Amino acid sequence: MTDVTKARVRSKPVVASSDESVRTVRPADEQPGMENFTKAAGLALGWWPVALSADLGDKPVAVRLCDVNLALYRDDSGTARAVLDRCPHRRMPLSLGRITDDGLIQCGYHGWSFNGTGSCERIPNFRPGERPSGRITVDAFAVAERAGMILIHSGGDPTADVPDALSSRTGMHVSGSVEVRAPHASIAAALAFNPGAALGMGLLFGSGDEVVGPDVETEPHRIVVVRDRLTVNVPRLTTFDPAVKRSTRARIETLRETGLTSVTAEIPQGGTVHAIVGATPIGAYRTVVRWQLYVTGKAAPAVAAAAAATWKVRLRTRRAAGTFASVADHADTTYDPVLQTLRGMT
Amino acid sequence: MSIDDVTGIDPAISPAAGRARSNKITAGFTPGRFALRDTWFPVLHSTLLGRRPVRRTIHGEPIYLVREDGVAVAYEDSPQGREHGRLRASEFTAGSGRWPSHETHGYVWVWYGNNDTASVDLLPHLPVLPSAGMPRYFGGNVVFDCSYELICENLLDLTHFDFLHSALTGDPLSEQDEVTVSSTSETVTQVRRASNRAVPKGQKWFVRGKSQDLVASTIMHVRSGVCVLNVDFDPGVDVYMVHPCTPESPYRTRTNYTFNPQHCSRPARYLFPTAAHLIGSQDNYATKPQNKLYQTERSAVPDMNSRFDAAGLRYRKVYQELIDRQAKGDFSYHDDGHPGRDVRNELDLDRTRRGGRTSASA
Repeated sequence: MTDVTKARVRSKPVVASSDESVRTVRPADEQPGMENFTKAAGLALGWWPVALSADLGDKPVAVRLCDVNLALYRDDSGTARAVLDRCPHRRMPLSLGRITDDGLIQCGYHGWSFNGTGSCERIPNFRPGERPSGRITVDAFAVAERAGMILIHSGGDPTADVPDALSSRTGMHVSGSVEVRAPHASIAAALAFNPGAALGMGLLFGSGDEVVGPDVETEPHRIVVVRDRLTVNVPRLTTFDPAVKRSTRARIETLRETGLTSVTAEIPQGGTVHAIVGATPIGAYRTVVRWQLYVTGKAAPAVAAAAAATWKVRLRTRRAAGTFASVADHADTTYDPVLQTLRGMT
Repeated sequence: MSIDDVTGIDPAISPAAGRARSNKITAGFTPGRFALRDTWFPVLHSTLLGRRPVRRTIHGEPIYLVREDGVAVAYEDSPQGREHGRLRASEFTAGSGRWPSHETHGYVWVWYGNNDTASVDLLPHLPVLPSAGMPRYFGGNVVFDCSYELICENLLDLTHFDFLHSALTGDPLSEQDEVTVSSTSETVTQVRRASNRAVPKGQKWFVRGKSQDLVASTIMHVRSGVCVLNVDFDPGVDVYMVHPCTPESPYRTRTNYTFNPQHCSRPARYLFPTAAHLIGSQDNYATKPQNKLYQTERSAVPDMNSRFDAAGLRYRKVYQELIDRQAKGDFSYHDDGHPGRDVRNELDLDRTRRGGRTSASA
């Protein structure tokens, strides 16, 4: 027998030994999480949507951005937090743990608990007043929550401006998400090209052929296009005129770095519909689409309820992802000034 | 050396280990990459081998067990395969297609390694079981979705018992709690002595009183993953247990456990084995996702440790030393780590329990 080691372990209950700020996000240069994204090929600098606000309840949630797995949760003040989904102790995903009463994320394996900045605050079995080593940390990420979306800044900069497209919205809102087997760039192109068809919301934003040419405005970080499309995409009989000639005009704003898209249209009965759609790359050929729909006007309750019900049916019948993928495929082989810009060809 | 001195990444609290060794243990721990050999694996409960053949696996190698004239025999090919002339002849059977095997303590053991060195003397000493084995009811199979190294480390892991299984084994609060870790070139032994712990929720129905002492002795045979335990809740059940961690693949470990509960009422004795899948599923909840991260991460980020991880780190150290030796072609056993040595004292089987009773052995 060699190297006998002996020790006495703690004998009294663990008490949270510090309440030092867990509410602030570290400054950009201290954000350890950003190095994870610099490794991820092709992820541009910016705020990337990773979840809907409605997804965050009283348990941690596992999400993915590129090839980085994250655990999202709300601390005791209700602030959304994001840490690497990997306990630094024995690599169990932190998203399988729980949130403690004092707002720490606690690993489900050994109970190591971390605050929103990634520092380990508590290890079970420690003596009262004993604090874990300051070296024990998990990577924490810069998080923002706007317009019903949880966003992560890929550069780790919590002070970076959040896009105007995500400014506060009013009206009734519904939301949804779906995972699509298509690359992020194709999904971003589909949203800029025909968001009504991609989302299955042609009645709100138009989904058929364009009746007039798109009105495009290109800026360094965004593209704004106004499209007037046939409301319903009914197949035409050979060369006859479309059977339904009604069209819908929508303003589509796409952020060039992240593909975050904002679509606005009028409701004929009065009011507006506004969709904010985020596309999150979670692999080379997989993208999660999350949308938030805000509706104003007299018809808002009916429109919101119809949008939610339609989406649910489309998910249940497995058409939601397929439609997105087919619009993305179509956008890949179509000439359009906006798509050319997104492809970097103009 | 105090257990306070054994932690992972901080050289200030890991002075003896040195950064290179520490990094190899904490960052270079890669379960599922190396098959340690020249050891006996308890692949099957004897009671499960009847007229039909049973297939088992060690490190991905197929084993077909059959009973021929009452004797358990292990082949590389299935009976149907042999009828059709499909004969494997790997180095593990020295080209014969038949694994060295032996039946004792209620298990069929198969030798994984060089046939010339296969010896029943190298079977682990199992004083916690009768040599004829236990009745079938006291055994079972828990299949974990991870590499066996993680289950071995899990068994030597104190704090997860107090956290993940606290309802059955108790929380971390004790009047006194002492842990001893020791090792040989082949085994890691951990003994925990805790006194006046609250009786856990899952034991209250058969334990009188509000507090109990705990002596938990664990011997891990690192090559084979065979773990021998004596977990004595006093008052309460004293669980003798054999907990094999048989590596079937980098993603699957078979634990064909055998319980031998002592000092408890007949109902408790018969109910105790039902806890296996309760605890097993809790462990699998952690080790299954853990396995994926250990095996797929491209960068070797060191694991961080607290002083309670001493036994797990010792396991990694012995495991790594065995790998280093076997990678150089040295498959021998050193004298200190002979698996067949008497481990009654290590397991503290003859200790005196509350009320002066002796912890009787099987």
